[in-house]
Formats: sequence, structure tokens, C-alpha cells
Amino acid sequence: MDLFTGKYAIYIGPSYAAAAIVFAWLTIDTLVRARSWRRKAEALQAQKDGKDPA
Amino acid sequence: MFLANPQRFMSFSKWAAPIFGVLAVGMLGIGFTLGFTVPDDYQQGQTVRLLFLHPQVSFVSMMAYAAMGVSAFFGVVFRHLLADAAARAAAPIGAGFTFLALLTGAFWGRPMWGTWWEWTDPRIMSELVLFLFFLGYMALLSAVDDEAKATRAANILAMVGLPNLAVVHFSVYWWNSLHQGSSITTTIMAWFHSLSGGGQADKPGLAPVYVAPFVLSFFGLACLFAALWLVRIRSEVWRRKAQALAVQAAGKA
Repeated sequence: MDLFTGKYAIYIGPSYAAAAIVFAWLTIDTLVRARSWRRKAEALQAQKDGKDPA
Repeated sequence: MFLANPQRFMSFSKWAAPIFGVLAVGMLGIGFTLGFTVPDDYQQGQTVRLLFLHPQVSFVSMMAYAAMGVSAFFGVVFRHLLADAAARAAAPIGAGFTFLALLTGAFWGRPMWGTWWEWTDPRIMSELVLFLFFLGYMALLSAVDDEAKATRAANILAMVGLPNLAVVHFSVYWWNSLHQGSSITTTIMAWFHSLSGGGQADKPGLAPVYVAPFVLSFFGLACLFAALWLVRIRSEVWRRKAQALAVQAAGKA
């Protein structure tokens, strides 16, 4: 595999690195946010139903 | 319309989002690996590796805006809460993809055109306007305290930006541009043409050795967008449910 070598590596490497960072950030932010709101909603629903949220 | 019902959407997206996620990882893994093993282009040399990233993120940025704009339209016209959630969910993902389109375009432009950025280029400017529409949408949502008013204002802004998609796509044909013509549609059409046994298409598109990584990375990124979008819409549904339950609990206290 021809990874990050040659005279154009300074253009190719940062492009793929930036893409990896943005995709990782989008994925982590999306999953963390979803989990957090789901837990809050479930805890409030359990509270409303008179159950122990734990 | 099947997915307009929140319960049906939640049960559909529960299995659809992970499937899109797995497809994205698989296709991107194979697509990018192939992209780094194909031979250099006779003209562009090694920078041809950016062919498997830049056109794809650019096209998905437009898909994301179309998803946001159409959802905003349904939110404004039919006052559908799930449509509002869908528009809100598409904005940060679209902004991320558009940022990458501009950044990778600059990294490709420098060795090929001799410049990182060209203020008079219609494709670059219309893509920048797309990015500003995403930022403007998110800024409006967070600037107004009343969520219903903020959503309505932001949705109207998203609808105003929809014609810019045509400008982004056709800018290279309507005006003089450093940018080349459409890569994605030409390549995908040529690929389907060859798959259906139609022989050589009118516009041949890419050299055959580049087609597989090009197509795989495009569908991989489209699946990544779909997976992230579905999970973010689910997150919005839970957020609204939590807020409604919190208000109910506060009313009882």
C-alpha cells in the first residue's frame, strides 16, 4: 500500500487525516448524544410510572 | 410517509441505523484500501488518491443539505415534529461533510491548480455558501430561546438555501471554473451502464481501475451519512420525550 509517501504526501495525508478526525468526531458525538437522551427519557419515564430508574 | 409515524420510525431506525453503519465501515474499508493500491494517474500522479475522498464528501454534503431542506419543508408546511427533528439532525453532519469538501478541495487544488483557494471560482464559492447555510441554520436554532420559533425560522432558512444545490451542481457548466465537471454522476451512470451490459457509455467517466474504489467510497460515505442521520433523529425524538416528561414532572411537583 502506498500510504503517505512521495512528493504529494503533504496533500494526501492531511486530507485523509482530517476526514478521519471529522468522521470520528461525528460518530462519537452522535452516539454519546443519543445514549444520553435515551437514558434521560427512560429515567423520566420510569419516574413517571413510579418505578426505580436504576 | 410510512416513516412519518414516530413509533414506526423508531422501530425501523433501530435496525436500519446499525445496518447502514456496518455497510459504511465495510465499503469504506475496502474502498479506501483499493484507493491506496491503484496505480498513480498518468497526469495527476499520486494525488489521484484524493479522487476517492473529495468528490464523495462533496456529493454527500449536497445530499445532506437536500435531506435537511426537504425535511425543513415538511416541517414548515405540515408542522410535522419528526420532519423538524430530521432537519435538525442533518445539519451538523452536513456541516462536517461540507467542511471536508472545502478542505480536501484546497489540498487537491494546491498541487493541481497551483492555488489553495480561488475566490472567483463558482464551484468553490457555492460550496462555501452551502457551508454557511449549515452554520446559519445551527446558529438560528441556538440563538432563539423559543424552540418552536427557532425551528420555524431555521427551517425557512434551510428552504431558502435549497436552490443553491443546483448552483453547486451546475456551476461548473454555467460559468468558467477551474473545477472539473461532475465526477460522481458521470462515473455512477457509466458504471450502471456497464453493469447492465450496455457497453461503453457516452461519457466514459473514470479509467476502469479507479471505478471500484470510487464507487465503494461513495456508497460507503452515503451509508455513513444515513447511519449518523438516523441515530441523530432518534436522539432528537428522545430529547423531545425527555423534555415533555420533565415538564409533566415539574407540573405535578
